[in-house]
Amino acid sequence: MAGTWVFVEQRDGNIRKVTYEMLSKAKSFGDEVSAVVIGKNVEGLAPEFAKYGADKVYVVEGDVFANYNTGAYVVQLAAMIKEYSPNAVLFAHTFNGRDLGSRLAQKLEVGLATDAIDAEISAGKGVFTRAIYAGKALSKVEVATSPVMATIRAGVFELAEAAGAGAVVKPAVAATDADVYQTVKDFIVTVSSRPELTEAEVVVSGGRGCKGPEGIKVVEQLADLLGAALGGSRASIDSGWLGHELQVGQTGKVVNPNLYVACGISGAIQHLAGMSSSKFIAAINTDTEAPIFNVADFGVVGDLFKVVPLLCDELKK
Amino acid sequence: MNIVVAMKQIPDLQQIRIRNRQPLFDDVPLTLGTIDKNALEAAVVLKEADESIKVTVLSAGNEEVEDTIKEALAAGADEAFLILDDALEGADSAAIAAVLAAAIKQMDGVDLILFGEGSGDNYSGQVGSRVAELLNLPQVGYVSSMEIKGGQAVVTRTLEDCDEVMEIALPGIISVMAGLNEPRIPSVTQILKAGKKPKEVLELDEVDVDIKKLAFTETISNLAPESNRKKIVVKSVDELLQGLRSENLIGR
Repeated sequence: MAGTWVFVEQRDGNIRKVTYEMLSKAKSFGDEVSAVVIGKNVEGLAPEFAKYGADKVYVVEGDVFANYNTGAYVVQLAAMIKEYSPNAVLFAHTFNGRDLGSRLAQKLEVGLATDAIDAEISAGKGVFTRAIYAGKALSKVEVATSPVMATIRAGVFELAEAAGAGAVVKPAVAATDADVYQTVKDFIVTVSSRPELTEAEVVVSGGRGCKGPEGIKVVEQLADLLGAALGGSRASIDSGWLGHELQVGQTGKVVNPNLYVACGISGAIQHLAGMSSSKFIAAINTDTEAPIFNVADFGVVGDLFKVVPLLCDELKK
Repeated sequence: MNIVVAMKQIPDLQQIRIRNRQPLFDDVPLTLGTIDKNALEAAVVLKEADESIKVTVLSAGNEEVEDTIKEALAAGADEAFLILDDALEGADSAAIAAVLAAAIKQMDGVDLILFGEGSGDNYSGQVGSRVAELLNLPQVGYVSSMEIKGGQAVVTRTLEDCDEVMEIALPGIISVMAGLNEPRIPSVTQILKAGKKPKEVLELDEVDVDIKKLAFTETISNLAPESNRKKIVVKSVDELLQGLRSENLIGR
């Protein structure tokens, strides 16, 4: 068995951090670790994976892989898995990672644990921990088929640099244009000076308590002073105060920063599901009974319009 | 055009209580997945613009689904197609996908199949993709807006750092995100009429799927997480800053 494979999540050569987190974790299983990178002009990325312990780097290049598309990527990975028989294949729990993992799992007729926040893989067995009932319970799931497959939440595994050989392997290209059934018409890249939510060390979010764009501005100030990503609960997205790409919650972005600051967010269950695995949670809310205080390490009962500016003033000192 | 909307019966998550770390389901009402309701709403909106569209809600689950599904019929689905068996409760994503795919094969001329991107309870988010693979259909996931025209679907996928506009040919499968629309709340008249809408109810052996062979994953335990949150209510901003600094969460 050819160890654990980590599928590299990248676009135009920009590698998502969760890729390295998965490599670091895979290293702890004690088996061979390989990165699998598929795209156009991606061979140059190979040394990056060696830094996090990749013994091998499978590189697949071709025009058919230029944009992520489910069809070609599934056909390619299925062929490679058949040829090299990895013990386990890990994907990032990103939108594309779970899209790919799910369809590939069906093609291979195997199980898949999605959004895993813990993973143990040994002797062809994989046990994963994942949240269910919007985070009210954690489910331990064994994937009983081979290869063991899972998608991994960003930010749950520590980065650990480790020198790997990073030997480049170039599997045959199995996918053709005929496998592509999605035509990409346009990319609209979200331009923001702030970090991206799922990769940020600090996230500051605003909810219904912001009462409008003015309140969001108050919260934005705090985000910028902390170098944080900005997010929001469903209330501030639906009211149009923030773009839909900034929604933190079960539907939307699941975040896992070192520090999550919830401003004027009461803590509806769907929101909690998207942030309750954050390492530290601070909450500012006027309502002492707000459910957000049940998951918070530090709570301030107060009006965000008063508390947040004070906090900003102190941080500027 | 025939649209199928796959929906899952789930417990009302707000009302699940925890005792000794065990989730309790006694007296917890059953409903349909929140994002599945967005998928249904999308189908009903299309139907309102084109009367020739038929919307069928498809669900596999225990016997109680027959009652729960009325919610979808009240919200605008024309008919229901149900595969009911208590063995389907809590079945693996692969098993449910096989049952749904087998059911879709029994329907005539399906053009579009809609899913919510994940069920409210298990949120595994695999079933739409698995059904697409089983039926060998084009599929696109995480759709935040969509337009159907001339046998094509043009959709926007909202990813971590970009929106991606994609086109797939129909018949095909689309799984949608909650931001797509605001599901309607049915009127009393619609709720009363829902009971009279046609339902086709099949038993598991009528779709010829052996779900025991599709138990690809096994649940070892479901337990509420042990909270190690500090839950410190601080009196002032100074105290909050002190707390954050002592945890090295912000600069000194």
